[in-house]
Amino acid sequence: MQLAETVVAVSIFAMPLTATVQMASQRQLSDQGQITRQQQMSAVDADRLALQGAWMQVKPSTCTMQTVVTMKNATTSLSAPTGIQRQLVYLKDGLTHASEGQALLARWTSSNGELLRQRIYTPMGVGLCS
Amino acid sequence: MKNPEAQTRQRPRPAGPARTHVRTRRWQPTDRGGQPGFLLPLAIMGALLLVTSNVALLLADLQIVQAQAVEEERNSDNDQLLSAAHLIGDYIIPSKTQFSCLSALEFSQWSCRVSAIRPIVNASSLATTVNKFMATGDFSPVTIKNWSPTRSGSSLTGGVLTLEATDNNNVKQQKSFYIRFPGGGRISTATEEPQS
Repeated sequence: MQLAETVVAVSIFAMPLTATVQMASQRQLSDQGQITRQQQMSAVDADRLALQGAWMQVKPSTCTMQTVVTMKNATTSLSAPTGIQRQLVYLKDGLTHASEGQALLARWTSSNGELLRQRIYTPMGVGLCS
Repeated sequence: MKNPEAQTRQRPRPAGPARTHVRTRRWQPTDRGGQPGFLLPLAIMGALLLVTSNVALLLADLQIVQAQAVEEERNSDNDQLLSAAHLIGDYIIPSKTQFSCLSALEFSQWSCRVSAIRPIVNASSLATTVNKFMATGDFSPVTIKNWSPTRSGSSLTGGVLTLEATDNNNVKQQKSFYIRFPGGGRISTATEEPQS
């Protein structure tokens, strides 16, 4: 009788205990993932400020495509923070005049290619037109 | 004092049935002083405790994940609207593009032609042009809800641009941006990073 009770008791206790152990291991992985994600987002924020700072140093005379090229040249020398990748893409609208509507798309992705954030910048948006 | 072990060794072992009887007696709870049914409630209580703590931890994790998702969604919405504001501001800056004539008009009157060779433009054509850019960046389309030009005396100094976007959860987000023209265009909002 006592043996049966022990077996049942152990069985009852073992199920949630096993689940707890599994959860603990999954939580550890999940925590690591969350920490990595937070670090990546912080790195993106820092890089966004760095980019904006670099763009603010550009002093073009007009808001033209050349301004955007200058912006890109000024910012590509900035190395992206570790753990994330930064991509700068020209955006050009074929419907408008060649010197119009030029903008720069900045995309930040994680090392496995997941898109973290993206923003479109124009010379005007960063106060570069004069 | 006599050694009990020695006594046991000296004692002749009983035959088969008797040995079985002794072994069976060892498992009886009264022999060890334990209470019958003690283990089962203890195991149930322990299991309930573990399950409760697991559920609490799961709920806490869920809240953290949800908070992060909300934060990321908000960042995404802000990026989308601010990107559109940058583009629209760049398009309507005076004397620059075919949409320049819109900057001096109230939103209710947004329809004009900047020169004889340029087409008539309005809010819809500007939104279409801007959203082509937005699509290149995998942004969702935005809608221009309002534009109120601001003037200092007779000169146009900028205006307030209101944009609307629909996020992934089909929730509409509206945001206003202050666009200033003189001395270099500037776009800022009360909540987004100031462009100073």
